[in-house]
Amino acid sequence: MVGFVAAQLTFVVRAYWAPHREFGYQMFPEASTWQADIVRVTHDGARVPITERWSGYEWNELVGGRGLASPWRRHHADAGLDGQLAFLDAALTWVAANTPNDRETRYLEATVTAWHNLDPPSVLTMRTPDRSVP
Amino acid sequence: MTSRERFDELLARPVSMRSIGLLRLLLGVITAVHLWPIVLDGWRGDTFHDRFHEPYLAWLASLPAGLYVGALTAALAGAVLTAIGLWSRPATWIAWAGVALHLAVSTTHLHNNRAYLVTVLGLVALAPNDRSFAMDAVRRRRRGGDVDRTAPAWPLWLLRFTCATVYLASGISKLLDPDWFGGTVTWARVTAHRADLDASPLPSAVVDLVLERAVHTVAAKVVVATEIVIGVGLWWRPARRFVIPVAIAFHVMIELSADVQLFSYLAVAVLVVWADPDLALPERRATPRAGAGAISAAA
Repeated sequence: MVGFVAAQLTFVVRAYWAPHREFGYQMFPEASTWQADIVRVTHDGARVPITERWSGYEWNELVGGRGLASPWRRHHADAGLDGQLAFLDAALTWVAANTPNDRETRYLEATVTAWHNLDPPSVLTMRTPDRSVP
Repeated sequence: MTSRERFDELLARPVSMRSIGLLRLLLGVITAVHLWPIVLDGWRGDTFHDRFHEPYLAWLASLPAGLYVGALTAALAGAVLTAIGLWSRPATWIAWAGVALHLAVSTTHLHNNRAYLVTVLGLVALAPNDRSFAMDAVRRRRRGGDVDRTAPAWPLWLLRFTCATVYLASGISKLLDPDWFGGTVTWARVTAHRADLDASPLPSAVVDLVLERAVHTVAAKVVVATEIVIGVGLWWRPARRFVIPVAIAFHVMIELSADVQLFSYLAVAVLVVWADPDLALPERRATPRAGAGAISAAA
């Protein structure tokens, strides 16, 4: 009983710094929005937007849920900006690691514009580790 | 009696399990509605395996799709059995395991309403939930067996604690966030949907009011106060008859204004754990209500 109560309170407190705020019950936390221009950087240095299909893949088929579809459009970060950007970062890594037919991409890079509520926008860059392509 | 002994006595005191029985029934329906589209997608071959996912436990990502869909199908069947109260306790555990599995395979599956569902479902699975509003109880009576409708109070207290925590956690997080408490968050969300509002059948005066910044400065504080009053007021028995209708109205407003999956239905369902023991719910009684007096003291 005491363990359950302690665990639940721990999750509630932890949600103030955990990006996904699991079991923190912070409803409708932000009005923040975000938009990302994502490119594939190939081994010859070309920067190809992921708005184009590549090697039989399409971003929206690989990454559907949690507001990650069509990242080139501005979206509401409905569970908070930190969580949304953590999802995007993890999604980039997953796509880089799970597109075996793609033999030309060296890494993926996202230039993200984030608006925390009504604050001025901030811009950050995410990139995946170099892919090991056979 | 020491305070420790009084605390232990409070947790072990026999109370009626009727509210937990009713909650089990409602949770079974909610869980089935939650799992149905996920299972349906699974049968069509659409599982998390083919899309971006981020498991909480890495080994879960290697779970074969067939096994995963089979487990969720079993959980769906468990949810149906949970609702009708047939083999209630194992069925509730199976339903809980399926909901937990779906959450554990990817961070992208977790939402507040699902976190609440898996917590409440687990607590109801721990409780003797087969004594009221259950086919199990009917079958036991038909066989001439005695149905004890009481059990130690601790699962009920844990459910109440969880319920109150959800309102308090939400309210306090908004209270501590200057953007939320000041009305910036709701105003920014509403203005982002200005085109939808303009196209809606709402009178222009109402649209203007909804878009007015000063309204949100006040409304945000009302929202925060409502959540905190619910979270605190539920613990005070005389206040419950006012707080519970407020909570229900609050969830109706949320349901009408936002997409929160099954949260509204779940939150209203869980409120039954605060029901007064003398609440007149229709139920056949084959045995005297041995626990009726006990729950009055505990509730």
